[in-house]
Amino acid sequence: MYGGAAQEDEPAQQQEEQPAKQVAGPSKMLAAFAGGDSDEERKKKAKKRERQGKKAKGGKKQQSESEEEEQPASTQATEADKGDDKEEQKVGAGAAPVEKPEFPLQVVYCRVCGVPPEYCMFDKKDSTECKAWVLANHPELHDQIYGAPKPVEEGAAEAAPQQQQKKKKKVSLAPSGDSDVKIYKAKRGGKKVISTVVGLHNYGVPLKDMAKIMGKKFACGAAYQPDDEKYGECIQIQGDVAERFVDLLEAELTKYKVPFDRIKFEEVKKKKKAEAADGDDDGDE
Amino acid sequence: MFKGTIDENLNKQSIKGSEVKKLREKIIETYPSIEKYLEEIWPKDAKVLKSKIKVEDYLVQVYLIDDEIRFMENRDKIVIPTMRILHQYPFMMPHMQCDKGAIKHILSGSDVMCPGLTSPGGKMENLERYQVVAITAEGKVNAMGIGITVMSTEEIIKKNKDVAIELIQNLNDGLWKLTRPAATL
Ligand SMILES: [Zn+2]
Repeated sequence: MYGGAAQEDEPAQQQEEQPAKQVAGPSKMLAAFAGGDSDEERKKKAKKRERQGKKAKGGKKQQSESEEEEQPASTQATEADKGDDKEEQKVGAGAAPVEKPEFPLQVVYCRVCGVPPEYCMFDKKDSTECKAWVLANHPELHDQIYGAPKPVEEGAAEAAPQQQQKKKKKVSLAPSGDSDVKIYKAKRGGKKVISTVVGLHNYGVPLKDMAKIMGKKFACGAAYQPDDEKYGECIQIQGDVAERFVDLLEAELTKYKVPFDRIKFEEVKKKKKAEAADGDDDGDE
Repeated sequence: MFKGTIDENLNKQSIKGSEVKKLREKIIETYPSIEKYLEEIWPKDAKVLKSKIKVEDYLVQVYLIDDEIRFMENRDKIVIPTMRILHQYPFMMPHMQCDKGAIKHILSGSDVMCPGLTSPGGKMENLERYQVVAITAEGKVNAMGIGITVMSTEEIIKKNKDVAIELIQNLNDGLWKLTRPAATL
């Protein structure tokens, strides 16, 4: 399975690749946490970096890259930190060409479950909370791990182009941006209706919990769908909840600051709105 | 290896200077690439304590450097860094990559089986047995475990069954939780 020659190449390549890939992590994290560290911690870090800067003399290309990347982080830092950074740069410029340490790496750990966010989904069945935390604190990691939030909606839009042309949905999509919450109403079988709520994750709403709340509130089946083939991540509700959704908004969704004007109701198929509204509110229960 | 929760009230003991010196030398010997960073991980003037943690059927020696568990010594007297140290200095040991399917098993504390490494999602370096390795996973950046190979890479390919890497530590095991940095609480 593994040829001898290929194998011998492997270690060297990995050693080179591994740190390079990870360099983006710590510097971005430094940027993200620059405001959160105590002065003491920051000084400690700066000192650490300085010490390393003096010690390490490899002059690798990666290190110069990481230095450039760290610039934005240091601009966000305090005066004290800036001072230290300048000192470092002097040291670097004097001793060896660009000598900024890249280690120790600061791996981001999920505040919810404690592991690197890329492993959150393996820790337990429901990583909704983790996802919300990552989105709020490390959006770049969120996109990398879960995919950008935007494509989810665009994917949904593209998945149903015919219906959209009929309904001219794209017109309403275009100006609203990607942080809309959409409730799609689709006919299933004869009179039954499924409402699909897409986009709540943009506001850090824990979808699984919300599905439960909705199920209770609307007295019908509501399920969290992590990966619906048409809508991506969404909540599916058995029944037409369009009207009562507004009550839910006031009761539950205000917590998450979902703006009312971002909530759009759309029907996937024409006709049926009238008849669905009266008979099917209570869904399957 | 650290499947259960570890009581955080460890019974710590002091350690002799000569023992510290030996340990530091052993670390450099086992992980040569860490030498230029050793002063960061284990400063010469650091406060060093040792303690024992019971795992399965024996006691693992752990070393607290400035009050942080950073290294341990298994029953074969191999000195192994904690996952926290590995994440900070991932280059310090060879990497063995498992396929996606193996992730959930490793995260629940299972040893790495041959097929997880030889399948298309796996990737190996050419190693002898009894080598401390970082266990990574297909499509992931950070290591999910630390282990010791019990077969050489050649054997792993040839045999393609049974345990290939004995798991020492994995994400979210007892030691991982015990060493959680204060900043992430
Ligand atoms: Zn998590």
